[in-house]
Amino acid sequence: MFHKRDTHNHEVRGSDTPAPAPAPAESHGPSAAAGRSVAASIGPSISIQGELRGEEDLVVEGKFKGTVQLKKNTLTVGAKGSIDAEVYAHTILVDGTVNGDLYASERISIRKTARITGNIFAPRISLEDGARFRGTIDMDTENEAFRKAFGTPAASSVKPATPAERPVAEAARNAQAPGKSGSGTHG
Amino acid sequence: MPLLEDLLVESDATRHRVWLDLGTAQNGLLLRLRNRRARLIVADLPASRAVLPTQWYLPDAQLPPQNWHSPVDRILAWDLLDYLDAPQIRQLAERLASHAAPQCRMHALVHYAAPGMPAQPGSWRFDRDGALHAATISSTLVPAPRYSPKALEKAMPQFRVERTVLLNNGMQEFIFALCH
Repeated sequence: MFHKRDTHNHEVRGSDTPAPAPAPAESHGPSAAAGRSVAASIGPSISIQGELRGEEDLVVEGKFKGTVQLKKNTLTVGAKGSIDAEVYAHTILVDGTVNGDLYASERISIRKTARITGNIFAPRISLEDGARFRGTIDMDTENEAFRKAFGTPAASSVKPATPAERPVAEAARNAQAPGKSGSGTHG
Repeated sequence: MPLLEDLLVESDATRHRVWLDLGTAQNGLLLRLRNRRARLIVADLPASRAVLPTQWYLPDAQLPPQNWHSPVDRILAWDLLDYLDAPQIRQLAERLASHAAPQCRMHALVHYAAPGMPAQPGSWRFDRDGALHAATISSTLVPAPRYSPKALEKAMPQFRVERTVLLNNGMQEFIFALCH
Protein backbone atom coordinates (compact mmCIF):
# COMPACT_ATOMS: atom_id res chain seq x y z
CA MET A 1 0.00 0.00 0.00
CA PHE A 2 2.93 2.31 0.60
CA HIS A 3 5.88 3.02 -1.58
CA LYS A 4 8.74 3.05 0.84
CA ARG A 5 12.33 3.96 0.54
CA ASP A 6 14.40 3.30 3.63
CA THR A 7 11.27 3.24 5.69
CA HIS A 8 10.12 1.37 8.74
CA ASN A 9 7.64 1.30 11.53
CA HIS A 10 4.48 2.43 9.73
CA GLU A 11 1.18 1.27 11.05
CA VAL A 12 -2.16 1.62 9.33
CA ARG A 13 -5.42 0.52 10.76
CA GLY A 14 -8.41 0.75 8.50
CA SER A 15 -9.99 -0.44 5.30
CA ASP A 16 -10.64 0.53 1.70
CA THR A 17 -7.15 0.04 0.36
CA PRO A 18 -7.17 -0.54 -3.40
CA ALA A 19 -4.24 -1.82 -5.39
CA PRO A 20 -0.85 -0.15 -5.11
CA ALA A 21 0.07 2.66 -7.45
CA PRO A 22 2.73 2.00 -10.08
CA ALA A 23 5.04 4.85 -9.11
CA PRO A 24 5.88 6.63 -5.89
CA ALA A 25 5.10 10.28 -5.43
CA GLU A 26 7.89 12.76 -5.27
CA SER A 27 8.78 13.80 -1.77
CA HIS A 28 8.76 17.54 -1.04
CA GLY A 29 9.78 17.26 2.59
CA PRO A 30 12.94 18.41 4.29
CA SER A 31 14.56 15.03 3.83
CA ALA A 32 14.07 15.23 0.08
CA ALA A 33 15.46 18.72 0.03
CA ALA A 34 18.57 17.45 1.73
CA GLY A 35 19.01 14.82 -0.97
CA ARG A 36 17.76 11.92 1.12
CA SER A 37 14.89 9.69 -0.01
CA VAL A 38 13.44 8.54 3.25
CA ALA A 39 9.81 9.55 2.90
CA ALA A 40 7.16 6.96 2.36
CA SER A 41 4.44 7.84 -0.10
CA ILE A 42 0.84 7.04 -0.86
CA GLY A 43 0.47 7.06 -4.62
CA PRO A 44 -2.20 8.84 -6.66
CA SER A 45 -4.32 5.75 -7.25
CA ILE A 46 -4.45 4.76 -3.59
CA SER A 47 -7.33 5.50 -1.27
CA ILE A 48 -7.03 4.79 2.44
CA GLN A 49 -9.50 5.17 5.25
CA GLY A 50 -8.52 4.74 8.87
CA GLU A 51 -5.85 5.71 11.36
CA LEU A 52 -2.25 6.17 10.26
CA ARG A 53 0.71 6.32 12.64
CA GLY A 54 4.40 6.35 11.92
CA GLU A 55 7.86 7.64 12.68
CA GLU A 56 9.03 8.72 9.27
CA ASP A 57 8.09 11.36 6.73
CA LEU A 58 5.12 10.68 4.50
CA VAL A 59 3.94 12.09 1.17
CA VAL A 60 0.29 11.67 0.23
CA GLU A 61 -0.52 11.92 -3.46
CA GLY A 62 -3.64 9.79 -3.19
CA LYS A 63 -6.70 10.01 -0.98
CA PHE A 64 -6.78 9.55 2.76
CA LYS A 65 -9.64 9.81 5.22
CA GLY A 66 -9.21 9.45 8.96
CA THR A 67 -6.49 10.43 11.40
CA VAL A 68 -2.75 10.90 10.81
CA GLN A 69 -0.27 10.78 13.70
CA LEU A 70 3.28 11.66 12.66
CA LYS A 71 4.21 13.79 15.63
CA LYS A 72 7.96 13.62 15.02
CA ASN A 73 7.85 13.80 11.25
CA THR A 74 6.72 15.67 8.18
CA LEU A 75 3.50 15.05 6.31
CA THR A 76 3.32 16.39 2.77
CA VAL A 77 0.00 16.51 0.97
CA GLY A 78 1.12 16.51 -2.65
CA ALA A 79 -0.53 18.46 -5.45
CA LYS A 80 -2.60 15.43 -6.39
CA GLY A 81 -3.24 14.46 -2.79
CA SER A 82 -6.55 14.88 -1.03
CA ILE A 83 -7.13 14.21 2.62
CA ASP A 84 -10.20 14.43 4.78
CA ALA A 85 -8.47 14.03 8.08
CA GLU A 86 -7.30 15.24 11.42
CA VAL A 87 -3.51 15.47 11.22
CA TYR A 88 -0.92 15.67 14.01
CA ALA A 89 2.65 16.10 12.78
CA HIS A 90 5.90 17.88 13.43
CA THR A 91 5.69 19.71 10.08
CA ILE A 92 2.89 19.78 7.53
CA LEU A 93 3.35 20.86 3.91
CA VAL A 94 0.25 21.23 1.76
CA ASP A 95 0.18 21.39 -2.03
CA GLY A 96 -3.13 19.59 -2.47
CA THR A 97 -6.56 19.50 -0.90
CA VAL A 98 -7.31 19.22 2.80
CA ASN A 99 -10.60 19.06 4.63
CA GLY A 100 -9.98 18.82 8.34
CA ASP A 101 -7.89 20.13 11.18
CA LEU A 102 -4.09 20.29 10.99
CA TYR A 103 -1.88 20.38 14.10
CA ALA A 104 1.87 20.86 13.72
CA SER A 105 4.28 21.26 16.60
CA GLU A 106 6.73 23.15 14.38
CA ARG A 107 5.39 24.52 11.09
CA ILE A 108 2.63 24.42 8.50
CA SER A 109 3.41 25.56 4.98
CA ILE A 110 0.51 26.15 2.60
CA ARG A 111 1.62 26.29 -1.02
CA LYS A 112 -0.08 28.19 -3.84
CA THR A 113 -1.91 25.14 -5.20
CA ALA A 114 -3.36 24.21 -1.82
CA ARG A 115 -7.08 24.16 -1.05
CA ILE A 116 -7.82 23.90 2.65
CA THR A 117 -11.06 23.98 4.58
CA GLY A 118 -10.53 23.49 8.27
CA ASN A 119 -8.60 24.75 11.24
CA ILE A 120 -4.84 24.87 11.53
CA PHE A 121 -2.71 25.09 14.63
CA ALA A 122 1.06 25.65 14.58
CA PRO A 123 3.55 28.12 16.00
CA ARG A 124 4.69 29.02 12.48
CA ILE A 125 2.41 29.14 9.46
CA SER A 126 3.18 30.37 5.95
CA LEU A 127 0.78 30.75 3.08
CA GLU A 128 1.66 31.42 -0.55
CA ASP A 129 -0.36 33.76 -2.74
CA GLY A 130 -2.91 31.77 -4.68
CA ALA A 131 -3.60 29.27 -1.93
CA ARG A 132 -7.24 29.04 -0.88
CA PHE A 133 -8.03 28.69 2.79
CA ARG A 134 -11.25 28.87 4.77
CA GLY A 135 -11.09 28.24 8.47
CA THR A 136 -9.25 29.26 11.58
CA ILE A 137 -5.53 29.85 11.88
CA ASP A 138 -4.19 29.68 15.41
CA MET A 139 -0.54 30.38 16.12
CA ASP A 140 -1.03 30.56 19.88
CA THR A 141 0.56 27.35 21.09
CA GLU A 142 -0.72 27.96 24.58
CA ASN A 143 -4.28 27.37 23.47
CA GLU A 144 -6.19 24.37 24.71
CA ALA A 145 -6.41 22.61 21.36
CA PHE A 146 -2.64 22.72 20.89
CA ARG A 147 -1.93 21.56 24.43
CA LYS A 148 -4.36 18.72 23.94
CA ALA A 149 -2.65 17.71 20.71
CA PHE A 150 0.95 17.86 21.86
CA GLY A 151 0.77 17.85 25.64
CA THR A 152 2.84 21.00 26.14
CA PRO A 153 3.38 24.23 24.21
CA ALA A 154 5.74 23.94 21.26
CA ALA A 155 9.40 24.63 21.92
CA SER A 156 9.30 27.69 19.72
CA SER A 157 6.61 29.19 21.92
CA VAL A 158 9.02 29.56 24.83
CA LYS A 159 11.78 31.25 22.88
CA PRO A 160 12.70 34.79 23.96
CA ALA A 161 9.95 37.21 23.13
CA THR A 162 10.23 39.35 20.02
CA PRO A 163 9.57 43.06 20.39
CA ALA A 164 6.02 42.54 19.18
CA GLU A 165 5.18 39.99 21.86
CA ARG A 166 7.21 41.51 24.67
CA PRO A 167 4.38 43.57 26.14
CA VAL A 168 2.17 40.50 26.45
CA ALA A 169 4.96 38.43 27.95
CA GLU A 170 5.87 41.20 30.38
CA ALA A 171 2.28 41.72 31.36
CA ALA A 172 2.03 38.02 32.17
CA ARG A 173 5.18 38.13 34.26
CA ASN A 174 4.13 41.29 36.04
CA ALA A 175 0.79 39.77 36.86
CA GLN A 176 2.69 37.08 38.78
CA ALA A 177 5.18 39.46 40.36
CA PRO A 178 3.53 42.09 42.57
CA GLY A 179 5.54 45.24 42.95
CA LYS A 180 6.72 45.38 39.36
CA SER A 181 5.39 47.93 36.94
CA GLY A 182 2.55 46.64 34.80
CA SER A 183 3.44 48.69 31.76
CA GLY A 184 4.95 47.08 28.66
CA THR A 185 7.43 48.57 26.25
CA HIS A 186 7.83 48.27 22.55
CA GLY A 187 11.35 47.24 21.69
CA MET B 1 -4.46 52.82 5.38
CA PRO B 2 -3.94 54.71 8.64
CA LEU B 3 -6.96 53.32 10.47
CA LEU B 4 -6.13 49.73 9.61
CA GLU B 5 -2.59 50.32 10.76
CA ASP B 6 -3.89 51.73 14.04
CA LEU B 7 -6.03 48.65 14.49
CA LEU B 8 -3.08 46.33 13.87
CA VAL B 9 -0.66 48.27 16.04
CA GLU B 10 -3.18 48.73 18.82
CA SER B 11 -3.46 44.99 19.12
CA ASP B 12 0.25 44.56 19.80
CA ALA B 13 0.10 45.40 23.46
CA THR B 14 -3.19 43.81 24.37
CA ARG B 15 -4.64 40.44 25.13
CA HIS B 16 -5.32 37.45 22.93
CA ARG B 17 -7.60 38.53 20.12
CA VAL B 18 -9.81 36.82 17.61
CA TRP B 19 -9.69 38.32 14.12
CA LEU B 20 -12.28 37.60 11.43
CA ASP B 21 -11.05 38.28 7.91
CA LEU B 22 -13.99 38.31 5.50
CA GLY B 23 -11.54 38.40 2.61
CA THR B 24 -9.06 35.93 1.18
CA ALA B 25 -6.28 34.39 3.25
CA GLN B 26 -2.95 36.15 2.87
CA ASN B 27 0.49 35.59 4.28
CA GLY B 28 1.01 39.31 4.96
CA LEU B 29 -1.70 39.40 7.57
CA LEU B 30 -0.32 36.22 9.15
CA LEU B 31 3.04 37.94 9.45
CA ARG B 32 1.44 40.99 11.04
CA LEU B 33 -0.34 38.83 13.61
CA ARG B 34 2.58 36.51 14.30
CA ASN B 35 3.80 36.41 17.90
CA ARG B 36 0.60 37.91 19.20
CA ARG B 37 -1.46 35.00 20.51
CA ALA B 38 -3.97 35.83 17.81
CA ARG B 39 -6.56 33.58 16.26
CA LEU B 40 -7.42 34.43 12.67
CA ILE B 41 -10.66 33.24 11.11
CA VAL B 42 -10.64 33.45 7.33
CA ALA B 43 -14.07 33.46 5.68
CA ASP B 44 -12.86 33.99 2.09
CA LEU B 45 -16.17 35.53 1.04
CA PRO B 46 -14.75 36.80 -2.27
CA ALA B 47 -14.70 33.15 -3.28
CA SER B 48 -18.50 33.47 -3.30
CA ARG B 49 -18.40 36.47 -5.58
CA ALA B 50 -19.82 34.50 -8.48
CA VAL B 51 -23.17 34.91 -6.75
CA LEU B 52 -22.60 38.51 -5.72
CA PRO B 53 -24.55 40.60 -5.18
CA THR B 54 -28.07 39.33 -5.70
CA GLN B 55 -27.89 36.02 -3.88
CA TRP B 56 -25.10 36.72 -1.49
CA TYR B 57 -25.59 36.48 2.23
CA LEU B 58 -23.76 35.11 5.23
CA PRO B 59 -25.30 31.97 6.64
CA ASP B 60 -23.29 30.21 9.31
CA ALA B 61 -22.48 27.57 6.72
CA GLN B 62 -20.54 30.23 4.84
CA LEU B 63 -18.41 30.90 7.87
CA PRO B 64 -15.40 28.74 8.61
CA PRO B 65 -16.06 25.47 10.42
CA GLN B 66 -15.25 26.36 13.99
CA ASN B 67 -17.10 26.86 17.19
CA TRP B 68 -17.83 30.43 18.10
CA HIS B 69 -17.32 30.28 21.85
CA SER B 70 -14.59 32.92 21.50
CA PRO B 71 -16.24 36.07 20.22
CA VAL B 72 -14.63 38.10 17.48
CA ASP B 73 -12.58 41.16 18.50
CA ARG B 74 -11.60 42.49 15.10
CA ILE B 75 -13.31 42.22 11.70
CA LEU B 76 -11.68 43.02 8.37
CA ALA B 77 -14.35 43.67 5.73
CA TRP B 78 -12.03 45.21 3.11
CA ASP B 79 -14.26 46.58 0.30
CA LEU B 80 -17.00 43.95 0.51
CA LEU B 81 -19.66 46.42 1.67
CA ASP B 82 -19.50 48.12 -1.72
CA TYR B 83 -20.74 44.92 -3.33
CA LEU B 84 -23.79 44.54 -1.12
CA ASP B 85 -27.03 46.48 -1.12
CA ALA B 86 -28.48 47.89 2.09
CA PRO B 87 -30.57 44.78 3.03
CA GLN B 88 -27.55 42.56 2.47
CA ILE B 89 -25.36 44.82 4.59
CA ARG B 90 -27.99 44.71 7.32
CA GLN B 91 -28.03 40.92 7.21
CA LEU B 92 -24.24 40.77 7.28
CA ALA B 93 -24.12 43.15 10.25
CA GLU B 94 -26.65 41.05 12.16
CA ARG B 95 -24.51 37.97 11.65
CA LEU B 96 -21.31 39.72 12.59
CA ALA B 97 -22.79 41.36 15.67
CA SER B 98 -24.02 38.01 16.94
CA HIS B 99 -20.42 36.73 16.93
CA ALA B 100 -18.78 39.95 18.13
CA ALA B 101 -17.10 40.72 21.44
CA PRO B 102 -18.27 43.86 23.28
CA GLN B 103 -15.19 45.85 22.22
CA CYS B 104 -15.31 44.61 18.64
CA ARG B 105 -14.07 46.90 15.89
CA MET B 106 -14.69 46.45 12.17
CA HIS B 107 -12.50 47.90 9.44
CA ALA B 108 -13.94 48.61 5.99
CA LEU B 109 -13.12 50.45 2.78
CA VAL B 110 -15.65 52.18 0.55
CA HIS B 111 -15.10 53.57 -2.94
CA TYR B 112 -16.27 57.09 -2.37
CA ALA B 113 -14.63 59.82 -4.45
CA ALA B 114 -14.92 58.20 -7.87
CA PRO B 115 -18.26 57.27 -9.42
CA GLY B 116 -16.96 53.87 -10.55
CA MET B 117 -15.35 50.89 -8.87
CA PRO B 118 -13.99 47.49 -10.02
CA ALA B 119 -16.71 45.01 -10.88
CA GLN B 120 -15.42 42.50 -8.31
CA PRO B 121 -14.13 42.90 -4.75
CA GLY B 122 -10.41 43.42 -4.49
CA SER B 123 -7.85 40.99 -3.16
CA TRP B 124 -6.05 42.98 -0.51
CA ARG B 125 -2.55 42.02 0.47
CA PHE B 126 0.17 43.32 2.73
CA ASP B 127 3.62 43.35 1.19
CA ARG B 128 6.81 42.58 3.09
CA ASP B 129 7.04 46.21 4.20
CA GLY B 130 3.55 46.14 5.61
CA ALA B 131 2.06 48.30 2.86
CA LEU B 132 -1.36 47.25 1.60
CA HIS B 133 -2.03 46.58 -2.07
CA ALA B 134 -5.11 45.58 -4.03
CA ALA B 135 -4.47 42.71 -6.41
CA THR B 136 -6.46 40.90 -9.11
CA ILE B 137 -9.04 43.63 -9.30
CA SER B 138 -11.29 43.49 -12.34
CA SER B 139 -10.53 46.15 -14.93
CA THR B 140 -14.25 46.47 -15.65
CA LEU B 141 -15.85 49.32 -13.76
CA VAL B 142 -19.34 49.43 -12.34
CA PRO B 143 -21.13 52.28 -10.57
CA ALA B 144 -20.03 52.62 -6.94
CA PRO B 145 -22.77 52.94 -4.33
CA ARG B 146 -20.63 55.59 -2.58
CA TYR B 147 -22.09 54.81 0.83
CA SER B 148 -21.93 57.71 3.26
CA PRO B 149 -21.16 57.16 6.94
CA LYS B 150 -24.80 57.81 7.77
CA ALA B 151 -26.02 55.36 5.13
CA LEU B 152 -23.75 52.66 6.56
CA GLU B 153 -24.85 53.33 10.12
CA LYS B 154 -28.45 53.09 8.98
CA ALA B 155 -27.75 49.79 7.24
CA MET B 156 -25.78 48.50 10.22
CA PRO B 157 -27.59 49.69 13.36
CA GLN B 158 -25.46 47.32 15.45
CA PHE B 159 -22.36 49.35 14.59
CA ARG B 160 -21.48 53.03 14.75
CA VAL B 161 -18.80 54.88 12.80
CA GLU B 162 -15.97 55.45 15.23
CA ARG B 163 -13.42 56.96 12.86
CA THR B 164 -13.30 57.61 9.13
CA VAL B 165 -10.69 59.00 6.74
CA LEU B 166 -10.82 59.86 3.04
CA LEU B 167 -7.72 58.34 1.47
CA ASN B 168 -5.65 59.70 -1.39
CA ASN B 169 -6.89 56.92 -3.67
CA GLY B 170 -10.47 58.12 -3.28
CA MET B 171 -11.54 55.37 -0.88
CA GLN B 172 -13.11 56.14 2.45
CA GLU B 173 -11.62 54.13 5.29
CA PHE B 174 -13.84 53.26 8.26
CA ILE B 175 -13.52 51.86 11.73
CA PHE B 176 -16.88 50.77 13.13
CA ALA B 177 -17.47 50.03 16.79
CA LEU B 178 -20.08 47.63 18.06
CA CYS B 179 -22.95 49.49 19.73
CA HIS B 180 -23.90 48.47 23.24
